[in-house]
Amino acid sequence: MSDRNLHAPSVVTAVLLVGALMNVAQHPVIEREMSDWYEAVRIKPDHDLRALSEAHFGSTQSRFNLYLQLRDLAPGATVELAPSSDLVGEHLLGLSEAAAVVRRDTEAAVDAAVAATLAPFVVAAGEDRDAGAYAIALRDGDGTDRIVVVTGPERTWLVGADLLADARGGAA
Amino acid sequence: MITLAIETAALVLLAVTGWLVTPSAHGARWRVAVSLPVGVAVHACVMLVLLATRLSIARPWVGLLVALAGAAVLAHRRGELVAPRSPGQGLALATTAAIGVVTLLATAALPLVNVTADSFRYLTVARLLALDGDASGMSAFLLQSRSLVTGAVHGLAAADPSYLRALGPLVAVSTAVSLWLLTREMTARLGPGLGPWVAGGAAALLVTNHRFVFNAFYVNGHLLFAAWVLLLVAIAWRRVAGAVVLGDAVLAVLLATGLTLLRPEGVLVATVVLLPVVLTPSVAPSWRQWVLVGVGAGTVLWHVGVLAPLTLRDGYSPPFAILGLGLLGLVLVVVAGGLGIADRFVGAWTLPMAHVGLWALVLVLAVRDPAILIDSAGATLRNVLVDGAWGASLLVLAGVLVVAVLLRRVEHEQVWLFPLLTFVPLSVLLAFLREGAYRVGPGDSLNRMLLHVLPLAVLAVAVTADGEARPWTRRLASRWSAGDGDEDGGAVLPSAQGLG
Repeated sequence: MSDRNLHAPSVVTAVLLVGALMNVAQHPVIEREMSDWYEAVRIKPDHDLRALSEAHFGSTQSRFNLYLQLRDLAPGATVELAPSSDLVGEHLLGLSEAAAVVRRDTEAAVDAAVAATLAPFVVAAGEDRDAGAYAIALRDGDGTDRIVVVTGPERTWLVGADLLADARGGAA
Repeated sequence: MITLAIETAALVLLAVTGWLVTPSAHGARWRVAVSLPVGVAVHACVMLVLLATRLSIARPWVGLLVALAGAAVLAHRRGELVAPRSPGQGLALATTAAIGVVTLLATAALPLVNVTADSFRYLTVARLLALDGDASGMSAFLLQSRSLVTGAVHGLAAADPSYLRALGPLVAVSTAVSLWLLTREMTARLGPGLGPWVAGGAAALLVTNHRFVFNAFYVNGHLLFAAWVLLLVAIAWRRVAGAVVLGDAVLAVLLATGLTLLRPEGVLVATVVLLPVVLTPSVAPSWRQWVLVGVGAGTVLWHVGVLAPLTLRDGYSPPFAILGLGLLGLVLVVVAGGLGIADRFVGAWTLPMAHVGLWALVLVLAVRDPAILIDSAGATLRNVLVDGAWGASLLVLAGVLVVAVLLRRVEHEQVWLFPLLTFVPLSVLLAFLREGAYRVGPGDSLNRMLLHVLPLAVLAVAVTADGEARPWTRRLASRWSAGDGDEDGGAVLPSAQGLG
């Protein structure tokens, strides 16, 4: 190394350490800013993730819990995913991700069934081609909008008998 | 207690697996420091093979045991199944054990871990792998967008659903120690007086960064990605610098394939990181061919062997993001075959041309859809300056990096500068590929991806401590000296007159 280069390690070290000190000094400021970032949640080690997701992640809790719950659903079980109609469009992708767990191949069944049975109660319907799944939002008997997964194994609709009865009652 | 015991077993077995796969040539401390991230990479690659078999045996714990067995075979073939005695080995193991115990207990007792909506998507993959042992319960969209690694490794957790609480903090420690050791190795000429200070400064700058700390306790894959990029650069640098180590090609393949399995853009980043070493004719062609074939095969297996069939099952054709990247894997294999011919055309201009080529591609896409580029640039600028939760750290680091690189040259610097410099056009390219601009906020994709090159940027600054002045600075210095001499002698240069 030339004489001039002998200063470089000291200068670089000083820059790195000053940078580190500056980083530390900024932590409180960034923490305050981060508190506005609603997405991030610090969790306790023994936190029930299902409960946590319900409490903090409106859309995600549907997807997360449903992925796990749908696996064990008997055909015909009721699945309520989101209680608000303004979430219908936003959540169709999540719904279809969940529906993908229990298989699809229901295009004809959905078309026919929607047309014949559910059409009067449909608030919105959506298909996620990526996941090959369908989701339909219905307005049930008490006027509450619900999103239901309508596809399932062996072309079985995962629309519960109770919900359908409610829906029919509401229409009547 | 059972959860803690299972988590401890998972992390210890991952670390042992990584330790067995890592060659001992670079010292006991390095081998121990990188063991956990390497173990996760081995586990991910085994999980890929298990998924591709479609035998419903791709459960995370099955993958870990197979990985451990495979690692033992590899170490045995290298003659390193039993650890050779080396200086610092006992201290390294004791320190690691102490850090591991403290981290496990701390994360089991304190609310330290952060989750976001994305975390739950990764944990969904984890749970479905644990339950099914295959991808039958997932949509292709979920597996393609969330990839395999994060879900596979957290699938080792016991509870329903759960995650490895200590994984993030331990990967963070590993990354910081790896950076410290690598900086020491790359600035070895500084000796024991200044060397530790430079390396310590680098590690300090990394671990004090708020985003680094956040990601250490965040259920996601960003920190692991950053760790693997750093380790891959370490392997590439050692090879380019002339070190020949038995088994480092296997390690390079595992880490690069790990990147492919960690994030959708992983294979692009792995290719960029490996390009400088692949385009170095002095590195043994067989080594480069083996790495290219390995990474290419892994990429094809993931995109064509696992993801494409899933999309067909879901009733749609595989998109470009799957087939295009699968094709890239095939290209890597083909390039390996023609490496001898390619070497004839490699020169000092090759990497700069590749860089220019990337920018040209971005330019073409920007002409077609300028809004993505404009919106992405605006959002990223805001994130780096104000809204990305980086404070002033990135701005200062980028400024220091530019000055350091402009002033000082380091031997084989292309190995880390090429991935660093191409990060910008590659990120813009990704925005076009996903057909959506980046957005303002800490959760933006690119804002999170900036962490991937943070250790590399710190390394690039630190190693200039042992560099040499660039020719243009020498010329400038000699002009100044000449000017001083002339003034002393009474003659004044025209430029100096003007300044006066």
